[in-house]
Amino acid sequence: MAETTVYRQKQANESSPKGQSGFYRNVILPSKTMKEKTKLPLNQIKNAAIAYEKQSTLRKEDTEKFRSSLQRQLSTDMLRNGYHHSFRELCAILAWQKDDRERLGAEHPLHRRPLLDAEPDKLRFLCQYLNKAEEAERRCQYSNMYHNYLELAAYFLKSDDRWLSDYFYEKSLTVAQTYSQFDPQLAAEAHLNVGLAYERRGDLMKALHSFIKYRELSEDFENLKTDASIQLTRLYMKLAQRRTDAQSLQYVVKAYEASAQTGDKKVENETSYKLGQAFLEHGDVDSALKYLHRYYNYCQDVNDDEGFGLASEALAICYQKKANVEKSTEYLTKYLQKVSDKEGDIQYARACSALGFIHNTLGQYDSSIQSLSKAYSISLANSHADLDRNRVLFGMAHGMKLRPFFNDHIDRKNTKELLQWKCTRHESFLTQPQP
Amino acid sequence: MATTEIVYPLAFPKSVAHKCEICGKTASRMCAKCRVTYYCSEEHQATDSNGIHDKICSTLATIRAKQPFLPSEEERRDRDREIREKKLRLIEVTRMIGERHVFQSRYDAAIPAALASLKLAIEVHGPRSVELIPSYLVLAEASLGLKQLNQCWEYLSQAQYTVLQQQDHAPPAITSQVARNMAQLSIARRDYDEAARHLANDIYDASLFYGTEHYKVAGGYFLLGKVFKLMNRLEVTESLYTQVTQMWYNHLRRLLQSRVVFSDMEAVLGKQDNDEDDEENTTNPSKLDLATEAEAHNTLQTLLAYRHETSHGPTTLQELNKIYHCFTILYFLARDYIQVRDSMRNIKDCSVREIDEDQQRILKFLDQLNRMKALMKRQQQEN
Repeated sequence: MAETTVYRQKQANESSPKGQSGFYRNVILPSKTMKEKTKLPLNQIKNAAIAYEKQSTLRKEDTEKFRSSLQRQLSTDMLRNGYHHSFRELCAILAWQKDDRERLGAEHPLHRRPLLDAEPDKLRFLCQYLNKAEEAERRCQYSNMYHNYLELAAYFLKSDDRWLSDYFYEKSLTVAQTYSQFDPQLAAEAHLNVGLAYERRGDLMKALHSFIKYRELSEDFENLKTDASIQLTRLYMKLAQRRTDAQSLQYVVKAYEASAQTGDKKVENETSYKLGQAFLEHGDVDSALKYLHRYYNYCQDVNDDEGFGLASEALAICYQKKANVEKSTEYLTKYLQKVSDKEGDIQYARACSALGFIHNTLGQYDSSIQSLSKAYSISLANSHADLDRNRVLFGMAHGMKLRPFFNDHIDRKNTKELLQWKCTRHESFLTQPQP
Repeated sequence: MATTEIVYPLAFPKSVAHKCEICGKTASRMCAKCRVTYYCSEEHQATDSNGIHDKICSTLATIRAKQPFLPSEEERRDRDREIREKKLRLIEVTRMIGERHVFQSRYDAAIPAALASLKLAIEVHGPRSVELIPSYLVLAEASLGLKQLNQCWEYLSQAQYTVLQQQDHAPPAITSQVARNMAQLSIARRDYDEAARHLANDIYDASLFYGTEHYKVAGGYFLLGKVFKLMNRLEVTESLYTQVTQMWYNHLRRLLQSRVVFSDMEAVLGKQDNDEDDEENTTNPSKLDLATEAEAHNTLQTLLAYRHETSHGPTTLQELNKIYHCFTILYFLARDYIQVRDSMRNIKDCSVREIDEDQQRILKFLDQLNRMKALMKRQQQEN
């Protein structure tokens, strides 16, 4: 659409009533009239002049700030103060991130997040702390340097930049290792951090190595030592859970050894229980017994009811496997007694179901039906998680009880009787002898 | 010595008024050999011929001669293309000569050379092109050497304005070079903050272009160290100079590896090449061109002096050894074999395995060389 104005635009060679040419009117006159129009009163002119003088002029560096990218600005600031290592680190980190992204391909979901150089806060923080680290290095204050790297790592962990945080943890480790004569505690802590980082990433073997080193280095420092042992125990248990073959048993054993060094009874005994369970799974009942007894005694000492229950159950299962019925029933009855004051409790339900299970396997179906019905009703009332298990056991007990009669009927080919039974499902049908 | 003919300014046709090569005033003398170069006085003619004119006299004659009329468009185009190519080559040659003069500190000879290259570049590329900047930089360095700070400032401003006009399309290599020269000027003017700012820009651009560990960036770090030294912040200088040493060390070692490997190959293949042929056959990366050589030499000298000044701490011995080793490689690459042995003797107490390996290689190469030379001599005697 062509532009149209409200008023007619005068032609170029048209002259005004005063005889002035178009040029004079359009070029010369406006500048003059503008000046006349915009002449301020004297007061305002003076104020404007004072304000202008007070304004600080932009120096060259400030103008450059407007023209350059953030990365360039930060780099030149760092270089101007002589922090060239920080500059090179920054370049390396940015290049690394770009290479990583290219390597993984354009559509990797992990890399939908913005590139580092698009996030000003992180960049500024990074540069600031890199400068501090370099300053500390120049002055040979290596513990300061270590702490700066640690801060950086923690910051990037919070903002979920795992790759950077791991990188800085490893850097702090190298610093601590090279200058470990000054402060061996730092080296131990550094190993701990690196181990945690590996664990987060899922690389459990490397994490194991780091934790072992941590343990070695923290020989002289009490609290670090216990901490190291606890971490080791935890890691061994994780490893054991991952593998299902004989290797896992070894791991649990190692976990127990580590826990023995913690000096913390609770951890030690819990590991002892887990060890017992593991032995049980692998069929080594005797060693299982040993460890489970230990756990049992501990729970008695500490009055830990739930643990006590777990221990009793496990012991009962062991003895039952060894076909030592009295012992297992003994343990279970003790357990029942202990928890009998809390009738409606889950402990009680567990105790009953354990007892029922034992009876089941022993073939004493009546008594098992008794205890299991109790367990079932309690868990039904509480809508407990064990409900399914109790249901199954209860049903099993009933079924097992009726099994010989069922077989009997089949042998005698009493299909009519069986069908009748199936209609009513009453017990007496089957157990009644044939008339 | 150049021959001259007196020229009468009034004797030219109407619109022709020849100007002096150097200063631009009306000319009254003419070079008799090429007959296309004019000067206003004897001194200017002398400086020009010392600087550049002796070398390019004949080429200038063909370029600047009045071209006869050629009947066809094609022939004219061909002729124009030939002249343009000659000019391009001449630009390169004159600039290199100018740079060489600067490195050998013959600043008054450098100026005519750089001026010639500048004029030719303006003729070929136009007055605002990026191609002019290297010539401006040579001029700036020359005038800095002659302590004419204002002149230097003018040339550098011209260069920087050309860069600005490109609106960020200028290649970072050139912007970094400009910034480096501006920094040198600021150092001469004792404005250390400005110098630091320019050097920061220089290092950033050079790192972006070459990569952060390249030896070209070392020049920027070196100047930055000098600035901090002048500002009396010696711990920064320390760390910067260590970095510079490291960069040059890596680069020279890499050159040495490629060069010695090549000559090992030759020996293995049983060729009995002359020493000269070896030099020509080496690939580009293993050649150390004149500019880099001079720069490395100057830098290493200053670093050595600095280390001798501030010798404290156990790391200094390592650093000194590194610098001496760099010198060794430098002399070796420049085929200055006597110096090689001298500087190898300077290294004492060295526990770095790499330096020992390199020295073994160099000694082996020298032995081979001597044997080959003996062989050649005997062959010549037999003939």
